[in-house]
Amino acid sequence: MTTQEIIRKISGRFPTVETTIIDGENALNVLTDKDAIVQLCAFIKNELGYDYLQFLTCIDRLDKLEIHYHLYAYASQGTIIVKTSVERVGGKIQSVAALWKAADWHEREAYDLFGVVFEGHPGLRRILLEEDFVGHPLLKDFKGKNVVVLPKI
Amino acid sequence: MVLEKLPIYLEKIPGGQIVITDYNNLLSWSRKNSLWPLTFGLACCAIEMMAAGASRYDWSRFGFEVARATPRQADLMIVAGTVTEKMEKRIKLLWQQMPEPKYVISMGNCANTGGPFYYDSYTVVKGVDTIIPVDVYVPGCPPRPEGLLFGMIELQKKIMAQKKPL
Repeated sequence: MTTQEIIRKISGRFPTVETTIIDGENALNVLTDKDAIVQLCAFIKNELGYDYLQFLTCIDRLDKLEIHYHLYAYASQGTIIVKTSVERVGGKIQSVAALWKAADWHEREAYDLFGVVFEGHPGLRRILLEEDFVGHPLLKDFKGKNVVVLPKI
Repeated sequence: MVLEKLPIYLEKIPGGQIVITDYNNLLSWSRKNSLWPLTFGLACCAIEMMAAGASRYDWSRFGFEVARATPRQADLMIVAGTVTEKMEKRIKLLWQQMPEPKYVISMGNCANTGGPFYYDSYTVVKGVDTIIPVDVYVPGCPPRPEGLLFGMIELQKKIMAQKKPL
């Protein structure tokens, strides 16, 4: 399946998503609304054969939190990056842990460090920090009791 | 008089000699030559600590003998590595479980001050001496086994210099 066919299939099924290919990156970027994330991921996994979730992460863009899903297909050796965004405070999104087992811990990590709540996750709790840790430290406005800010020279 | 010649005075007698010393000195001397460390490593400094305990450097030569796997049998805690907020409570508990007299060596820059993680880190404790008292600080990132052995021998000197060890 060529990239053009993948783009045609995705946009045929989901007319609202944007697809882009960034020069120098061997990956197809798919921008979607957060409400369609589970349907889109299920489609990409079951219909297009992207059976491996390499990586799930979150980026603090100050006005929103961007969530990236790096998907890989063993058979066609292709990569798709699904991007979506949630609100910065109290952001909620549907979990994809039922599709890829790997999403379980990645979503727990994103919850731990950014505070994104993944609805439908089998056990959403902190994975790296202590249970009684206050706040989500990778948010750019995080202030903790141990943080000493590097002085600007 | 004998007392002026303390801490150690050798009295020669026909066929041998008698050592005369005071009780505190004897106690410190026996303590410093049998300091058993706690088997306890936190980060990459622990690799150097293991090397210091293994046959090439062999801290048993100086009386550190065996590393004990329980704090109940250990005299010396070597804090080898980065102390995080999550580990802080565990270190404190291990230290409290060690019987007196107990000694602490802070090994490496992380345990001394927070080291490379001093700025902009949300979990690293800025020095293990904010939690427990430290006897000897060994700088380095990580210190070589020679550095750790030097720190341990400095601790032995410190124990010998104690006026009232009890």
